[in-house]
Amino acid sequence: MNLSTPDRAIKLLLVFLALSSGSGCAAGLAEAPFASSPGSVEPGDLRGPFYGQVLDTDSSKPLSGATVLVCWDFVQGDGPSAPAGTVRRVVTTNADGRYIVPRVSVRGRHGRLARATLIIYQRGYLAYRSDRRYSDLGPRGDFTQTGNMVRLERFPNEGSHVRHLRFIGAGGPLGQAVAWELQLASDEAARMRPSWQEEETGAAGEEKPIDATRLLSADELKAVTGYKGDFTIGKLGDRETSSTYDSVHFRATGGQPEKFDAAIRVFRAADAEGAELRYDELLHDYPEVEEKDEIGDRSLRSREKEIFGVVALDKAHALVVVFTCGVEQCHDHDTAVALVKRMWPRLGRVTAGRPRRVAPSGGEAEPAPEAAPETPKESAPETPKEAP
Amino acid sequence: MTLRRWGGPALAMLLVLGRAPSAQAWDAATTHAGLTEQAIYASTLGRILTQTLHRPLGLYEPLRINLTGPRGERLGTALGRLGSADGYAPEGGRLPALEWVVAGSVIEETPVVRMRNHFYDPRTQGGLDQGGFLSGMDLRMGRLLEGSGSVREFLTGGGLDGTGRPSLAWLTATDNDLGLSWFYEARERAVTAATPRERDAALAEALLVAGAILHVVEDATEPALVRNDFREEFARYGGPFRRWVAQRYGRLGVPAPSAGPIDVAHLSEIITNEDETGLADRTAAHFFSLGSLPGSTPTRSPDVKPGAGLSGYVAGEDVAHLAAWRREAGRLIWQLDERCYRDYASVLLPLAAHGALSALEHLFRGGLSLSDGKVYAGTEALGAGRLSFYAEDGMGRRRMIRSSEVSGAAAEDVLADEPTVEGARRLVAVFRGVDVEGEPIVVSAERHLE
Repeated sequence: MNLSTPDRAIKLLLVFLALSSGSGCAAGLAEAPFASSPGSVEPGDLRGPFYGQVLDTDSSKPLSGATVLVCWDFVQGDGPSAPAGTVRRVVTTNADGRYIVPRVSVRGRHGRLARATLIIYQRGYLAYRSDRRYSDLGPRGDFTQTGNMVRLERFPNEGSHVRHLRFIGAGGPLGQAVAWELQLASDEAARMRPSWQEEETGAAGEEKPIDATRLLSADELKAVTGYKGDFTIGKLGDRETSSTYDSVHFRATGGQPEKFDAAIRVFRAADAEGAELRYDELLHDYPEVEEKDEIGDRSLRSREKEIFGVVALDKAHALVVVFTCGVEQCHDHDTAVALVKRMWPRLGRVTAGRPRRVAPSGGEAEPAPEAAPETPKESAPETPKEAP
Repeated sequence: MTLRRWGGPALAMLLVLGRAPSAQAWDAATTHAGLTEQAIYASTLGRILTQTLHRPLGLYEPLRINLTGPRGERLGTALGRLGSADGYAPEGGRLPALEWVVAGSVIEETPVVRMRNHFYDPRTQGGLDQGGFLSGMDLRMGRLLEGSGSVREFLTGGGLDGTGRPSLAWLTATDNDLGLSWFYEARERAVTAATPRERDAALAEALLVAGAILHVVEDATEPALVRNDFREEFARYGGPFRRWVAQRYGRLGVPAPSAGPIDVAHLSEIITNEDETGLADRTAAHFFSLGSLPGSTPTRSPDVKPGAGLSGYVAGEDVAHLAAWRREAGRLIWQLDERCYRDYASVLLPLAAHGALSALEHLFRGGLSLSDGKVYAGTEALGAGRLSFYAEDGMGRRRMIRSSEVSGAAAEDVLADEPTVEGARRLVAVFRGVDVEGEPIVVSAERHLE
């Protein structure tokens, strides 16, 4: 394509376009979302000027020296679009609490005036915004361009500086004025815990169930064993998931026998000693045990008929992991061991409380395509009857 | 093909075209700012800034950015255009830490043409595909007419022409100056740069880029962006859903995340994954945009059937008002109205904030610790990478004292031995490499020396 010799008509067209609209000069301004004055239905003018008075809510006395910031935001393109610049003006209220913010000129400005926001800030008071209320952060409907009456409430003793800084913004033109709140907000934020963290801990401090699904995905299992089929992922059903026990059953689909399945059981003890006791029980109870100590603090291999078993102890997390894998899935014991080694770096996640992947309502772990599993098919090694 | 060949159509189009409105997904200055803000408040970022990066004020630590070169100029221009009523417009290059993240989420779409790379259609695994050099000419012309496009873009096809890269590719694209590689680079410099001022600037930059990444993730909950619908939703109707959300919620009314963060092996899984539970998977499967309503071509899920009357709504899996329908002169007409928008926003905004929260936690995941003369991996197992040690003197200046390749370590396992350092006030360790899933990661730890 030869861009250096464009058609003459095109050239003229483009020059026209560039001159007529491509310069990006302010083409207009949006309709103001506020009235021109109290009681009026006439929309105000985004450009201003803005007049008003600021009073103390309790005393109804004028507040002098309050900072009044007006920001005029320009955007590029029709409708709300990319920011194209901002103009702001800061004034302070006089002895009568009155403010006057002169009209802004949009001449020569890049883009279109889309928004004008007025913020009033006085230390010791809750700030005021022309677009939103502090109480519920909902849209404000009582701001007017002129004759605007603002009653500032005193900052309550138990008031939140995190919320207050979110309301007015922690940076920008008011950055200097609100600097004293940064430390207070920071201290408050350090004490706060997001609601999801509280949910994970449990309302009454009870421990949340552990989650064995974080140790191994079906894809990883297939990648290591080379299995081409699919799995239904569920629980083994031998015991309820709790803060001390969880299981994952990779059940081969298509009516395959259990020698195509794999399963993970995770036991959590109160401490490292308890976990080691649990491990010793399994060492004693499982068939054809050979202690190899190749994973974690201790580990063993076990086998019963067509099922390979691997048990490993992690004292740091007070966990015992039991992995069982059918001979058509794992083919040999080394494969089963490799899979447990793959799980090992993730032991911390078992108790971390976060679901894997996005669940629509934020709740579930890896979804099981079918309903809750029936009676476990797996038979060996036997699952211990009691949790530690 | 020469310009002469499309001269005729261009002139004809000038006569018939209305002004094609510029396009955005969620409105950047309000909705994206609010979503990102909510994600930050729900995240552990404040704790990481305080405890790992030793910024005493955490989220509120003032940081001054220092961007240089052509990239710095571009970003500086974009930052200079930000509206200043919401606290995220820098003053003299300074902002509190959390506002840098918010600022990043806003400038990800400045200029608007960047949004062409925010589409991801899980059905095709592709990006925006509704134009091209010739067939997208009407769109470029529209932007030129409204003043948001340039003559150069119009001529070269470099502007918003109805095509773009998938958002997943955009996150890692080398020409994305707010992409993942810039995040990790700045995150490392935030610890390794020689002077405190340089480290502050790098941290501000890392947070800025993190915000831009969150923007791309949040966009995966906007139906038009995951259903390859640019022409109808944006070019024809000007993005009514986006406008409605911006007006109703503003920045401050945006809801908090729907749940705690999810733990993902790869950032992309938040947007799409094989379980089809990613933001884009879910949004594309359960919500409509104007250009992909029932009856449009190609037909897309969800499958719905109108009732027997003259008008009504069909319900979806997540919302009571999935789409409005009416019968008019024997025709069945589908539409999205305010009831639909209200329902959509009530589900999609918390989901978007949730995705942003998960992305933020992913970017700042893991850690290192220094104790007993050893360096330990944190909660995240580490793969191969480079472990470097820095000594800090009494003036806060840091110099590298050792750097070597390491093969990785299990979570909370020993990564290496600490070097012996004399005459330093602080020892710093930083690992840059991949985690066990092969995802890039930068983690660091600092220890005061007696």
